[in-house]
Amino acid sequence: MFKLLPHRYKRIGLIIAPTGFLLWIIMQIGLITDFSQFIGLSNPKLLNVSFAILGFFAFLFGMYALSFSKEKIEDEMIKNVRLESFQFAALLQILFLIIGLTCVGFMKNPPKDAGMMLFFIVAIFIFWITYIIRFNYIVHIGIYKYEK
Amino acid sequence: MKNNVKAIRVIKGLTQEELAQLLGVSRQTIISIESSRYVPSTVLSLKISKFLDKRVEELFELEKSDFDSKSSRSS
Repeated sequence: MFKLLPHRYKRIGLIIAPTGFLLWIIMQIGLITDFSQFIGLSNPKLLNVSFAILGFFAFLFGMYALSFSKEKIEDEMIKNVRLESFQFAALLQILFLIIGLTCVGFMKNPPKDAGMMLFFIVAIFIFWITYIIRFNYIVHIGIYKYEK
Repeated sequence: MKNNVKAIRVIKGLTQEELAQLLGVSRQTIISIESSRYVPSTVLSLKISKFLDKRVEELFELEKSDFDSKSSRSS
């Protein structure tokens, strides 16, 4: 049976995911390449690419920790909300893929390899981000609205 | 399904947090059950019945809509 990570990983994910994402975005700008050129490194792009990969994997690990770590008390209702959030996220991803691919089909100049890769990456992120937002919203905010 | 969990809990002088601790569930679960947003499993229903010292039928009541063939088929 699939086991969730302990609750402490949620906090780790909350720190690592945005940090990794920021690092990855900053590396796209190429700030380190300029710095490497400035200090005279033989291969200035290497440092930039290394940090970009590090940032991306840190972001992925952070997302994994955020998605698959237990709540403080992981009971049947929380498991039910988790399952419903998975179903909702999967449905939204399928809708995005259907609408997106239909639009691509009707385009005069459809996107090439890189464009399509970006499209599928966005589809994957839509699933995870929807799942994380919906689950955490219901468990930590939504439920308290029904408190009379 | 209607339930009288909140009324009986208040009569017993328990807070949501205390009942949650007794049952080994989160406070969110108690809020969801009391507001009829979540229907507990048989095991949890029996636990609630035991800790509140009431029969399950006194805690939970079926409504007309629960007997509706369409709603029971979709659930």
